[in-house]
Amino acid sequence: MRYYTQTEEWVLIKDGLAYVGLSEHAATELGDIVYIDLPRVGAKFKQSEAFGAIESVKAASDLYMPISGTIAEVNLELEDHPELINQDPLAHHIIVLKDFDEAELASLAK
Amino acid sequence: MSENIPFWVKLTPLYETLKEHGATFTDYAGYYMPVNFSKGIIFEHQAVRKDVGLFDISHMGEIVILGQDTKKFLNYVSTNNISKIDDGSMQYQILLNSDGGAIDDMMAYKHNNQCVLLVCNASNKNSVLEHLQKTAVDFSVEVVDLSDFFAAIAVQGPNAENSLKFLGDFSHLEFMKYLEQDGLIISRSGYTGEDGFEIYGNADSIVKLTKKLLENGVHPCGLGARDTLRFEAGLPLYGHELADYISPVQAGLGFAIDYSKDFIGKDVLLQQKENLTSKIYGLELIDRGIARQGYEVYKGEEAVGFVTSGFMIPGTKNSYANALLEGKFKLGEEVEIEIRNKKVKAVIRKKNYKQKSYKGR
Repeated sequence: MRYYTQTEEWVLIKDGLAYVGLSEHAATELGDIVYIDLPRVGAKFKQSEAFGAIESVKAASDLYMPISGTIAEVNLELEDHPELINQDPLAHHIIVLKDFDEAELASLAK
Repeated sequence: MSENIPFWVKLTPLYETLKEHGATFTDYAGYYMPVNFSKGIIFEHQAVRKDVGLFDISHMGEIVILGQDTKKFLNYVSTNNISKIDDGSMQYQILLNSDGGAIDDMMAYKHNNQCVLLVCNASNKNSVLEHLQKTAVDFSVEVVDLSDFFAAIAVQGPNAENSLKFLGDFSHLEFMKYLEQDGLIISRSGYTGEDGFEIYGNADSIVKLTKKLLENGVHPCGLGARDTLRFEAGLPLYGHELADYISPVQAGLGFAIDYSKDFIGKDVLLQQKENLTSKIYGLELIDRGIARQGYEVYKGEEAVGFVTSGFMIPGTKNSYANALLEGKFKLGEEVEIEIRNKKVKAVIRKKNYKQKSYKGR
């Protein structure tokens, strides 16, 4: 099941990891996405903290942690092809979290 | 799809037509303007570079100066010299306040020495009008605001001339010249660095013309692409590279200043020219990132200025920025831009990020 933040990130728990991406609505609203500022693998963030940014031609928007956790992996494919988020935002995660706080999912929308 | 148009914004005569063509609108300078269409800014940017695009520029202010002192008046309120151009020609002009700060930049269409049309930025129209009317008291001129009469479009790109063939053959119309035809003012000019035309007329004729052009496959474009195109071509935008705190000398617009005549703000510009402490530079980012307006620029530990505009050029990974910097910098010199608490490397370069491809000159 996918959970959504008020800031339009989604989180999906799969095989003990938390995949985080951007909602379809946010991807449409942003328009052409041209750059994604990804965090360092191993970095720890709290829920609602900015972990990176997503940029359209016109503007930059911060990305916020749906739940607290440690960056296990970043989607490097997005470095060269950020437009994948426009094409299919639910199929392309931005980061993967380990050691996350599953209890915080309760505060998110389904 | 229903939309809530804010009650304080004006619609241009092209609103319905552009909405039908998939425009997403934004509140800009008091007008509800297309920011982009369904294919997006990248598509629109490239359409203008390779084919032809159409922009609604009806929001721009149109002010006519009439009377026997028109030439004398304009030469006093503007940095440029209207005497240097012929009737039927255009000139880029900058209005200054007495502190040398820019009130606006404008395009002047010289009908003759007694009649000149000024096209100014929508966001500055009220301050331009006020300044002109105040200054006009000492001259035998009339200042007439025709902004509500005129609708206007810009048709821009290598296929612009072709797309307008049904109106006439404009192959002999030179860059920065215009003609009047069937109630339209048609100039070879624009704000994209491409060949193109700007066309002014009453609402009916501009709506009709726009519908025809769009039916013929001219790509509708919004303010988003207008900004990236002008930026890539090294053209300034008021409020970014030129402002009440950034003079034309700092902006590198010396070509539009004639020091041989008297004009408002001249003494300040002369002082700046002698001892210029800050100016607009072009930057190319070496590290990944996009520099946005307001981001700080560093030389070592020292903050030396801020970004005025910055984009990753649509369709490329090339990321550039204009910045107002204190001190002297050489081409190729390295600086850093602070982006979200990280310092990103950039080098100083010329601020035209693309060669202009004007025709008819």
